[in-house]
Amino acid sequence: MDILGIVLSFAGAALAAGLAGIGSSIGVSIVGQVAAGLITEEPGKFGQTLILQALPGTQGIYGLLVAFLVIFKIGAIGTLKAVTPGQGMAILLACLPVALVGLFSAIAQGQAAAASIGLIARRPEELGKGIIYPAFVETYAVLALIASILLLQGVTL
Amino acid sequence: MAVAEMLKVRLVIHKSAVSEVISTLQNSGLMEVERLAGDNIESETHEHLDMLPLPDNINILTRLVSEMNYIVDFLSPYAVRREGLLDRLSPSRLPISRKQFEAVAHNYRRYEHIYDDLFVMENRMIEIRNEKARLEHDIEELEPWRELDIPLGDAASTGRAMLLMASMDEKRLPDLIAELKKHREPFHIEKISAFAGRLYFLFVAISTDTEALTIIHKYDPVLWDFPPGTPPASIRLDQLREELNHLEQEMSEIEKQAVVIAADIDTYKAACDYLRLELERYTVLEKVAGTESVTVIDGWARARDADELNRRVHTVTPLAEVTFRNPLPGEDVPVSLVNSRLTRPFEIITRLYSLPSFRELDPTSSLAIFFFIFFGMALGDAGYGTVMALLSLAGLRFLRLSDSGRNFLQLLLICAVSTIIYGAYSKAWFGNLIFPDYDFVGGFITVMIVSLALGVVHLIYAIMVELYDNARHGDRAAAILDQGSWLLFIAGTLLFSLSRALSLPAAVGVAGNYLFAFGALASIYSMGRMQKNIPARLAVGLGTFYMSVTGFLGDVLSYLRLLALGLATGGIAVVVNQIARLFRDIPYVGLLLMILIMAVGHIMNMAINIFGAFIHSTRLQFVEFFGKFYEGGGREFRPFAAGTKYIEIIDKEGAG
Amino acid sequence: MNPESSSVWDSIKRMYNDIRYAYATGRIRSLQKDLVDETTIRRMLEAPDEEAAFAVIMETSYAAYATGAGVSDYERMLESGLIEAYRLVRSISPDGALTDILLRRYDLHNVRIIIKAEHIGTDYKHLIVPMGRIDPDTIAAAWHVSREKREERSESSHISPLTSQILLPRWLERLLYRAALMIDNSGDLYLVDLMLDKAWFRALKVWSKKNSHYLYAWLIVRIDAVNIMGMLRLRASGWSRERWREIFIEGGRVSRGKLESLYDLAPEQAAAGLLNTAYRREIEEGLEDYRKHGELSYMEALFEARLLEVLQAERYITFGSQPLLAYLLRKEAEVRALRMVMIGKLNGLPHDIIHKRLRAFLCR
Repeated sequence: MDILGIVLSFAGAALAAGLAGIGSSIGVSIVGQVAAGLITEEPGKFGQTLILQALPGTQGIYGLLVAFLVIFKIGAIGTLKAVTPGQGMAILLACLPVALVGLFSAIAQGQAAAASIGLIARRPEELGKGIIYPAFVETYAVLALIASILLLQGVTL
Repeated sequence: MAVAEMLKVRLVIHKSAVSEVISTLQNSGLMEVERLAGDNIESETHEHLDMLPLPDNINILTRLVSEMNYIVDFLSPYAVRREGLLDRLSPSRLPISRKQFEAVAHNYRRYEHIYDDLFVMENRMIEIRNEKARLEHDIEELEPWRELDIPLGDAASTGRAMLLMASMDEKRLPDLIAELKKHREPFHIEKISAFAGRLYFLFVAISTDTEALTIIHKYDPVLWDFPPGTPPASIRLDQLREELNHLEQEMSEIEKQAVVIAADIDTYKAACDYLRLELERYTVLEKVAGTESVTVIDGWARARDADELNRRVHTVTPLAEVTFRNPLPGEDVPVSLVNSRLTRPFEIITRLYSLPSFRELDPTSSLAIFFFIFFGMALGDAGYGTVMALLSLAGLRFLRLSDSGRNFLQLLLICAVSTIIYGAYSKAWFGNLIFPDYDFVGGFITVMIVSLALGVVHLIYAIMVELYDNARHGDRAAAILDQGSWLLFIAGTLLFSLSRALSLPAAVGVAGNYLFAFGALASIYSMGRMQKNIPARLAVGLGTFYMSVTGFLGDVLSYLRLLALGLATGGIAVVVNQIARLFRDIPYVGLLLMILIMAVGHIMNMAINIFGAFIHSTRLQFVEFFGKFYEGGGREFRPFAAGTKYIEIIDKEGAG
Repeated sequence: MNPESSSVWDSIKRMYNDIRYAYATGRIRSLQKDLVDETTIRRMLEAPDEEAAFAVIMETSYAAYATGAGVSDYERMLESGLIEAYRLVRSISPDGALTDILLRRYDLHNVRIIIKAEHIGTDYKHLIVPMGRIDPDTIAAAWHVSREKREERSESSHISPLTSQILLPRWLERLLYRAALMIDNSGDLYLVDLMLDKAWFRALKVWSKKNSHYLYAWLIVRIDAVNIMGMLRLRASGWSRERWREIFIEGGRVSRGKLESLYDLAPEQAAAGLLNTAYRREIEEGLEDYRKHGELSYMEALFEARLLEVLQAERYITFGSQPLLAYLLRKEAEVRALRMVMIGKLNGLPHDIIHKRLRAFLCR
């Protein structure tokens, strides 16, 4: 059994969950800090800021999802399947879109959401718009997720 | 799809009946009062009306309302809570009969003085709090010097000797002593105590020894200096503690008083609402105009309420005349939405963006069906749908809700139904908990095609709404040229590609080809038609056409988020089950652990994905759908009504 | 935060530096709403007398500092509001230097008061502004040391001269040393004043150049405003060019040479010579008013407006030190404006004169 193929697949899964998770945690933390500042002055806006803070969290979930797809694919829970180095490399590459786009788009989305907190600080009635701006950023994480999944489907073991 | 018909209302009332009529308007809540502006007063009545002078009462009432608000806010923390958990979740308004309500207000004189009392109390409480903080700070500062038994005020430099009271990092003391020893001048360090890693000490040296000072300075000392006459620390500390005790006692006395006064908080709440209603009636007077004998009130009412309004006014007085007319072009008409029971909850989405203006279509019912489908696909787990449905049903049944709260829960319920249908179809019940053969990636390609197809349908629908909207406003050219040609082009493209994919008869493909070509040409023509010369038309037409096509493709791709969200829900749910099952075989606690992990995992997954499904279904409406035709910017119809904050009048109709 | 650097690593570092401000920014965004807006100032202006104007102040955030003494209280209330703003920003700012550098102006003001009082031999306590970072007693004691009067303990201070040496920051020690030298050499208090003024500008320049491009941009405009207005004003009150040269502050965009070449001209021509600088609008409009009324206060108000305009860039910042700085500088401008209205009302100045001086807050 070829260990290199398995190692490469693991690297892919780890990158997908890891990088996207890092991105999300940074993004969520940025929003959380700005929100905490606002809440100190106006505790009544907690619900609104919570919604904004949750936005950059999805990238981490997408990353985790791809990681699990890889895990299922190579049978890491249960019995490992045979993976050639070529297949392993393909799996690693397939993970990259969600890993990289997840990392950067979550941080970017965090910044957009933090700016929206500035918006609702002044105009709480515009929450709807404040949510939509950061939600635009997520489109690209969604597209990357689709790309990663399609690529993974393409690898047959 | 409806923005309610509105009528402009004019009430002409004899002076003697004004206050009855205003009360009636407030109780019925049917009419929005509009400020009478100078021009429209004259043009219609041929009689010059003056704005009525404002009664001074308004200022007095404003003050009283803010005083009552203060009383209620101040007392609330001291009021005895007799509420259960449910009441905390949805604070109830105090039920009260109209008679009681008015009695409360008539007794106003009896608690007029409360405001002054509370004001004095609060000031004293603030003083005490500040004083306490100061004392506590002093105590904290003095505590380390407790063992020093000389009066603190005497610990100062004398002519020959320099004496410092200082504190510094305990660990650096040996270094300091070593360095001072190297310096070879006499010095003495008397350790007093150590607190939280800092050493408190007296430092004595010869007063001319600036070198020693410089050395000490290197060790970041904090220097202490007490005014002359300060007694030894232990005595001073006892004094301070004594003072602190006194203050605390006084504080608890005041709080006891507050609790006693707060026993009557319901009365104050009622009085507060009474005064506020009174004030609102007076503020209406700011907006009316009149002559010596006649007062005119202008405003808006829903067309269907017109008769009711007329009847209500005439039951209180014969001395009033109510006239209605249709809104004139250019008038700023307030907007009220009318939707069926099933689509009304979706108004939340419309409002989140912006109300339609009076002359625009209400997009609520159009977005309702798509929102319904999108949400179901994006969440896509029947188990989660069931939990959502049960929770929102429970909320609707047990919580006392405002209208918007009720609408929101109804929206969640409707979305839950959609989720259950979609989830049941794809066999997703808490991931693969019930059907072990549920494969969340299995239908990947199918779901992808369905998402894209839904996108195409949604977008075409948006174009058709735009077409209808243009036609409705009489802009036939725009309807046919802009939207019509574009629709033809899309239809042609679809026919052409479908005939390839599904191997339909060749004729369909050919028809598609022709539609495609014709639609494209017509679009290019229509998009460039605003330009003057032919080259410019061609350039602008082609450019805009290209942008439209790529824009359309981008919009369609955006619907892939439905697939992604559904996958994320299903995937994580399956993983939660998988991980939980790993624990099943642990002896004794295994089953319990498994259930616990499943519960926590599914609750988190559900919460995150309900949120995501909501956000992204909304986004698809706002950006892809509304972007095509909707502007919004309407002003909400806010009828003048008896809006109470704390109490609820049970027999509303009892007044006259 | 270094404005010159541009590598990727630096920009990442800058972002992380800014993220430290996330909490503070969120809080400031909420506090900004309490800043006095144009309507409030307008309502104060239109108030018939000082009582009515004061009633408007009582509706703002400054009401929290009222003691019930009425109009006479306004000055203390404004000051308390400003102190509270600084205290708050200092407590939430990850970098304390940010507020300290702005507050240094008040420290230097206290230094000036103390030196002057000692020189004339009067009491200074009532002139002290309680806003500096350094205890005025420490300054007073340290000043005694600088004047080599160690033995005689300042009767009003309980800080011993020797202790003061430890508590005194290095930058102030140097300044006091130089001030003492100046007084020994020439005895001219005015020169000391100048030196202290310039010290603040220099400190601010050094700090902002390194830490905040935003503040630096504001400072340049501020220096130019001080230089230009100083030139026009002092020339009018008959100062010699040599004397004026002393007060010029380096670091603005309008150079010393430029202003010097214009110095001997009449105010109108001198101002006209400045039209090709970045301040064309202020000069032009100010000059027009000068022609009509013969005074420069409108031009000064226009410069104040320009300074507030520079602060606007903060709006597009998600988080960073900018909103904090902007909040403080706006708060200062606001206090100046409110004070101006109240003084105007108390002295019965006509409505349009106060209005003109408040250009920065009105009709934007």
